[in-house]
Amino acid sequence: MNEGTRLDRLKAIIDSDAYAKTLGLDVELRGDSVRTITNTTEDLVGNVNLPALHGGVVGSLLMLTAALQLNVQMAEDERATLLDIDVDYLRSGRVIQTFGSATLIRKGRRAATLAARLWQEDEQRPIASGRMSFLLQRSEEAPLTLV
Amino acid sequence: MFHKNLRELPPFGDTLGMDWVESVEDQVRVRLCPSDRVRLSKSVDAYHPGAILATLDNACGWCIRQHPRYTDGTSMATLNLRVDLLERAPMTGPLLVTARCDSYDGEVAHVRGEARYEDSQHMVATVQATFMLGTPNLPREALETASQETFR
Repeated sequence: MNEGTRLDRLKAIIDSDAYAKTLGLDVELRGDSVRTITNTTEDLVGNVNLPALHGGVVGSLLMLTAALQLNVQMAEDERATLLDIDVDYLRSGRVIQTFGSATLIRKGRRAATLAARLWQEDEQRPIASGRMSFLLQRSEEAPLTLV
Repeated sequence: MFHKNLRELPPFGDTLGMDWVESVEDQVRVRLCPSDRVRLSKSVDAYHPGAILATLDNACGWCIRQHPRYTDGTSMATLNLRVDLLERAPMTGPLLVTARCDSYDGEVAHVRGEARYEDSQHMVATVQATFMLGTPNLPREALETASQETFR
């Protein structure tokens, strides 16, 4: 599958994921590496005084970024289901454009482990990092979902 | 926004349709109802794990205010959070998220919780989180201005 086709496939999955659309998630593909871009809005705020993104938004962006990266590295008949997620909140997330990337740590036959990070203005100053485990199953009939 | 009796949802709680249910002793209960905003995908009628995580995180923050040692107005921020998704959760009915504060020492609070179907009490996710207490609760610019005025 070429890069353009893979990117179209990722965008189609995001389009079918209403929650990802609520977050305003978009994706770019550079070779095999996914980069997510989220134009955050006031609707995603958890602390109105700062204001700061809700912890649930940050955790969700990490899980979706990892899921998209995993999707790039899965066979077409593989389906992934999120098993668990560990999130470290490193800085408060501002209501500005937020980027994400993920690394596949290991992909076996039945499970995959990924690490993901989010940043805003400076890639060297991440706002959060996370580790996720996914269950992998082979099924061409099952609908393709991100998590 | 950090008051014991304030049950105002944060904007993202409103976005997802979270609903504060009750506080009982050291526990808080928050409901998440089926809706298109929290659906896993167009073709799968299940709760999105991100929406479950967000509701768990919200309930965890709220339950800290139920701790007997909580000082009204103390701000907080999630330091880390782990969610185990026990199974995919079909949107057959509302989820009830319960969270309780296990420890509170003035610096840090440790919290646990779970998400269950409201009718069957069947558990679909668990959470364990640590919150920092007394975190900055003003925009950075306002804090810098306040700091400069202090040293004048």
